[in-house]
Amino acid sequence: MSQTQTPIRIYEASITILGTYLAISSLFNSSLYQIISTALVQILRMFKITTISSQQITTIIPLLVTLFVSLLIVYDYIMGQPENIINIYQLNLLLVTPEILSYSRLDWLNLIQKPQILDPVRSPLIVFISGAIILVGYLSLYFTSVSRRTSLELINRGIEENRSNQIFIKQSTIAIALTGASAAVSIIVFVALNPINTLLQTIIGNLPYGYLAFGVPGVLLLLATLWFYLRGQEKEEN
Amino acid sequence: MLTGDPLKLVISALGFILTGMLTGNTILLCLGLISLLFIYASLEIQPPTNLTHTPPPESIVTYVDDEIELTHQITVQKGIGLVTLGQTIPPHFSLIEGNNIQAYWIQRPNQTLTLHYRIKCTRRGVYQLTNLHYESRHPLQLRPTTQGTFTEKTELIVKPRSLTAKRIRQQKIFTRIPMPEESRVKLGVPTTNFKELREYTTGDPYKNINWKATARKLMAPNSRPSVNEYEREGRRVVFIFLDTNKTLGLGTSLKNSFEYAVQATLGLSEFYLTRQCMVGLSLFNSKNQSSTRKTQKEQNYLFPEAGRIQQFKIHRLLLDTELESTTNSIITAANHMKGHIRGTNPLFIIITRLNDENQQNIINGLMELRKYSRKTQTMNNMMLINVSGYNLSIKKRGDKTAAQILQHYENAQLKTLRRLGITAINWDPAEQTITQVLLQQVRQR
Repeated sequence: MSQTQTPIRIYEASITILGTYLAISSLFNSSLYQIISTALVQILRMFKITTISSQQITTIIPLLVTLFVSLLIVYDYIMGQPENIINIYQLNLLLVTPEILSYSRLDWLNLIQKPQILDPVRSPLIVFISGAIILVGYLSLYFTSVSRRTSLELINRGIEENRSNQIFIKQSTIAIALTGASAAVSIIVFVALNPINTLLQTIIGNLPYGYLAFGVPGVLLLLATLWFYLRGQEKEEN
Repeated sequence: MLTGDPLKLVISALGFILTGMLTGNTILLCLGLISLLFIYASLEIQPPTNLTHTPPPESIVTYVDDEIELTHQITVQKGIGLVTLGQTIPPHFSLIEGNNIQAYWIQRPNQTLTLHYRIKCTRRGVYQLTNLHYESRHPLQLRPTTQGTFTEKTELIVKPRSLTAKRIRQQKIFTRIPMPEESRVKLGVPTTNFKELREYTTGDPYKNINWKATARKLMAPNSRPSVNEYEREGRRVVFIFLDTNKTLGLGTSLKNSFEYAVQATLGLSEFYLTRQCMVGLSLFNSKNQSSTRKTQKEQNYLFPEAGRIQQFKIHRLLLDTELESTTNSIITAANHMKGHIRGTNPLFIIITRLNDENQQNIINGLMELRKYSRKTQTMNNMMLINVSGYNLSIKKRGDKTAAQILQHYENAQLKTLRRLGITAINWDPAEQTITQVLLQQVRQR
């Protein structure tokens, strides 16, 4: 392992372990898990199989899974395929989804008259930060893997390994810094949402279907902005 | 133009946002915001653009086996990202230090990049540096890589290395390297060497009148004063004949008999030019061939001239000379030059590699050259340098023994020439330099 790549590899390992721990914790803290585990325990009791208490499970299992992921990361590094770590994130995003969905204002589970399946348990800020960390990890690891590919390509083309590693560090640092900054801005927006919401409530609270009056144009505006922005970038290139 | 990555990011962001809108979930909306902000900030970063290039000098002159440094300076006016510079090294050059491909990370405006490397020229010739290629990449590669070239005009002139002959001042030492025997000229500055007495003609300076001889002739009728005639300062002539037969290609593509033959030609021409001789050069092919195809290249001959200009002309001719440059035999070459040979009694130097096939051709050529020389018993105005290449082509164990056996055979062929009175010198470039070989001809009185 090249010495110059060590800081990036430490970052990759740390954020992956943290993200995995947060994702597992999120699943075990969700109401969905509680429903599933209660049902499972009842089924097991029917067959006279005793289990450990759910309190112990929520502590032990995330730690065990995190340990397993840590071993997986070490394995990937040993095998020289650190880019494989990113595969863990797809699972992490899936695990965190139930708890995130439990904060939905529009509970689609009402359609099957089971709204209790997704009930919020923890603070929304903690859930959001967990999701943000997992997403930051996913984005930054995606771009460090791009940098790693570039670095290998440069070495194959005859550039010194040391120089190539320096470029890898700088390229990865930019990706990490940008994802971190985006997440920080997003957290600020999330925190500021409650006061803004209160303010908007006073303005449009009395309007019928007020959320539609703001939401639909909002989405359309967002799509149009994106379209114009991307077209603008293309023209600039040409 | 954007790569596929921004599209993936936009789709993922929209996925979060639309799901958030459909479920009224602010967490999903804000997670989508992370991707959106990231892509916006990333695309706002411009890749390195506006590159300006300061090339190396337009012409670099060097010698074989010398090292030259090439430095390119590129200024990147704006942008952040990766810039890769690369230049193909011309054939027959080897990289000694640095790298001809390099990557740089651009992080501030007007950053200057220096591509510096040292190459070694292993073969004579005129080479053109290839264009300098560059690639400019977005820091996160969200935009396609920009490629371009800087036009390169640098010409590398690699001259063959010549021998460094020094004048030996020791009185008791003399050399057996032949010099042209005489110089026959009618014009030129008179020397102090007395030549003859002749009758006075209009325009002769009075100081040249030999009064004693004039007094002795006074009794004769219609006698005119006698004047002293002195030898005129002239230049002796040397003709060098370089063999371009492909048998001289013995060895590797870089170190073969022909390359050393070129080196010897250059060295000897410089040796004689610095000794006030007029040197002519002619290429020939000792191959036994029936075709008398005339070559289009008039550059196969250089008529005898003296001075630095002739030295430069010889350099230029030898830079472009390759094996089989001509199909003219030595006789054809001699016929072409005969107008310049007649009356000068020059020294002939033939540089070749003797073998069974060409030995007779060379002897015939030497006999032809003798026709233009003063009739003497010996052929001591002819020197043949045999560039032996057997040791240059040794690759494995056992080749050395084979080379030694072949060299014995080669020596026998040289003895045949020596019997004719020719100064035949054998040169093994793997063992000695041409200077060492010529120094062997130096003897104590």
